[in-house]
Amino acid sequence: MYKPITPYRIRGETRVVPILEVKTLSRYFGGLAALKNLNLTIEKGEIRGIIGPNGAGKTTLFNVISGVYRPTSGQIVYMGGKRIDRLSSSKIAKMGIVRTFQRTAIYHDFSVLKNVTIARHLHAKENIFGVFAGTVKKLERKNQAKALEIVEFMGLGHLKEESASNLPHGHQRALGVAIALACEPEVLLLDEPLTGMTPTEKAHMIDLIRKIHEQDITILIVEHDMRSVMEVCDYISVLDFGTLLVEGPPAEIQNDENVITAYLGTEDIITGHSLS
Amino acid sequence: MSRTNTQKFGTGVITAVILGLCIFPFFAKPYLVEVAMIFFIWIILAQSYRLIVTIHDWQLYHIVIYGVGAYASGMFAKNLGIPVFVAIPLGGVVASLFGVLVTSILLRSTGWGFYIATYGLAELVRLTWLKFRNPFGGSTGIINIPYPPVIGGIDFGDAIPYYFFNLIVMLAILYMLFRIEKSQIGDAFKAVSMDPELAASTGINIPRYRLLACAIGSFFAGVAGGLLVHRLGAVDPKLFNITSMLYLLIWVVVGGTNTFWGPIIGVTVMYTLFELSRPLIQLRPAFFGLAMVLVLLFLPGGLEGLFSKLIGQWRNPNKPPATETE
Amino acid sequence: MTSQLFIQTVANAIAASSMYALIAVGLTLAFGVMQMANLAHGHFFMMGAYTVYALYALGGWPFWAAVAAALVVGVVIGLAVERGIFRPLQGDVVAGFIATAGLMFVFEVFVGEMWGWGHMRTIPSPYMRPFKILGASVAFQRMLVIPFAVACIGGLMIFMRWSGPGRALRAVAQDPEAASLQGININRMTALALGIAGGLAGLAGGLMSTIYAVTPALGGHLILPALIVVIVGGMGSIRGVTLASIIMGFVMTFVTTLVDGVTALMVSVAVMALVLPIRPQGLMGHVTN
Repeated sequence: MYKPITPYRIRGETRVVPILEVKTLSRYFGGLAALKNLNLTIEKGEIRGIIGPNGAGKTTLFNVISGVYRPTSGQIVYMGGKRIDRLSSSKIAKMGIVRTFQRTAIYHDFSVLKNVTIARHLHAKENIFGVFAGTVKKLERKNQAKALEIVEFMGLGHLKEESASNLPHGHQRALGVAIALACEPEVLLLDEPLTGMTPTEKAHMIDLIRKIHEQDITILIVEHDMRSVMEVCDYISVLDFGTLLVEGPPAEIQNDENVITAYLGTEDIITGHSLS
Repeated sequence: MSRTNTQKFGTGVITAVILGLCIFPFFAKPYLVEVAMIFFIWIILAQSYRLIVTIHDWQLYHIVIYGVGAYASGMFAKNLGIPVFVAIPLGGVVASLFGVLVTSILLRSTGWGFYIATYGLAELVRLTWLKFRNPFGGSTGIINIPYPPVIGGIDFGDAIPYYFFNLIVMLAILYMLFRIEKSQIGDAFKAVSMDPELAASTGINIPRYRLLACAIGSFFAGVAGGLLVHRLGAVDPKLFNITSMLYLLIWVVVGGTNTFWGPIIGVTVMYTLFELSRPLIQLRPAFFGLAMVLVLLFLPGGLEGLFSKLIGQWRNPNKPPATETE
Repeated sequence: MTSQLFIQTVANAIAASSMYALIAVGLTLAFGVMQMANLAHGHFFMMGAYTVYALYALGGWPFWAAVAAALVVGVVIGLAVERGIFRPLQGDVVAGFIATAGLMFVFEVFVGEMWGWGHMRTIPSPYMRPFKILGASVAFQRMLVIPFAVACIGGLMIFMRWSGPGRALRAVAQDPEAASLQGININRMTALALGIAGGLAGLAGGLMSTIYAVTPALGGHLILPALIVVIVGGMGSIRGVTLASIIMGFVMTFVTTLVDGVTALMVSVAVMALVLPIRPQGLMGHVTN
């Protein structure tokens, strides 16, 4: 069943507002519409799956929300009041919306712990003169401690001094998520977190996603792996050609004819077996 | 060898080098003492350039910033009567402001438009010095710039005292840059240079960090300009042309910019060769241009890459050298 | 400004525009195909000038044979730089930029060692007599470059539009991956582009060798105005660069005549500084990314 809406406080009164609203969002590249009048409402605390065939606009959606692209038209409203569609990605991250990348985005030359500690920078008050006066030391230690917590939370504690480039693929993806967590997000955008993973790695990542969800973080997931998406998400939005095709809980989406057609029936979206 | 032993060894090497530099001027020919002072200036320029270049891109006006510091310090001392040891840091401040101004125009660009724009802007400044005889002295520059004064019985206008002043300034700048390198701000700089998209997604405001790096790097370059101008007693716009900038580029590229030591290695090796090749002065630019091309084609890690491989081999003679992971 | 001076200045401006066009069009073509600019491009011009100096002034060749040789020299150098520098670097923008900067030194030393440094060399012009346009006398030698520029650039545009190799060049400039999937050999196209660029620059150098003082510093003087023309016109756009050459040729010539050369260069840089933040792709360039 769909998870109940948690109340959200705005200006002293308790109202129930979605944490993220995408309103008639369009993004054109030249003449090509990657997103067209897309409407989406995300409630605080849910795990929302964003699926759709290739080219449906899923990663573009993440790019627009996280500020990598500006929308051509439309709005994105955060926490009921703040418009974030014209802000830079660093600003949006500071406000609490953090994303991971489809590519494995980690700092290859740094150790696992350092990768996450650097992302804690958001919560460091730095000052160039503080560097010489030694006033930043205490804050640095706090940040490193928190980074260590996150590294252990993600199951990478035993590898914390290992160079990021030496990790196996699955661990590198987990590190990418750890980096995002270091920013203490309210909303976490996971862009194809299961790409290139073995079934064991996938199960492990799904566990981690559930653990993150228990921390009351709202999660949006773009994924191609249907089974995993159906397993972990509360609610699913299906995109096609840049617009919303249909929305609903996993059970409904699995059997929806339009969804199956959109994927052109090339595979049974539940079992992954080819239908032809 | 364990880590701390290597650290102790490294500290030992550095101490030995510094001691050597302190003894050097008493036994060397006066000409070499002057060369050494220029060497210190190149080190400052190369290290400050590295700071700016790693977080942004290869700009071509750093030599002109050095020139702005030189002109400013010289003019403060000569025209406004400001004491030399105050004029030098003031020149650094002027250079820093100028560098920030220029960078803020080019903040979000990289690649070709950026390189050409920096080249153009560098030429614009140099042409301004050439065109306006008053106050910049035109193509002959400014002469009769005051020498440093006598302090505590030591005449800093003499070679050896000024040499030690330069040495101390260079070591201080290197120390400050090293502290920044190891700090959280240094980590943020490195993060931006490794993966700007990732860094931005974690809330690092890249333009702000670029301006910070530029302000710091330009300040140090400007101070170097002040050091130069009060030894020469004059400033000549030819010192700050594109040829000098290309030499700086050669020192830094050959040395490498991945680690803190790259530019130091680059300047040490290349500037020594530069001075040694004085008899062949006509052919010299070709050698250095060729060296840079060869390094780019065959030794992309720079000399520092070579050094770290050698040190790695020496530390662990049984371990095969690390292979590149893509 | 007297009407005589005005006409002379206009004529000089057209000649300057033609020269810049020949230099900058090759530069922008090479950029469009390789996504890399060649800082040593001004030195291609210089090598062309030295070729004419060596063959015609020193070697006694007929003038037009020497100019033809200058064009050939330009093509050969262009091909050599492509093969030796740009191809191994595989599109590494920073390395290409730094490598061509180093190349500038090599060319200068080569030319300085072979034919001497420093002092200005003037080549006696085979077309000494000035001729009159509308009552103002104009140096014929200077005007030589104009019909060549028109012919070459016109020819280039036709080549790019109607010929197989030309269309292949455009395909590579638009989308290298798609072009190679269509079976176009990227390396051959890059070589072609740089060969054309070198040839045009060498030709311009040969034609202008009797006007400009032939010294090793010649290349360095020209590269900045050429780069400004490319930026203002649009990197990768032949039409844009042609238009920009006309604009910048006039601006530079008139400012030089009215004030001086230093100010002219400063004004040009200022124009570029204005264009870059407002319209980074230049007049007719394409917006990348």
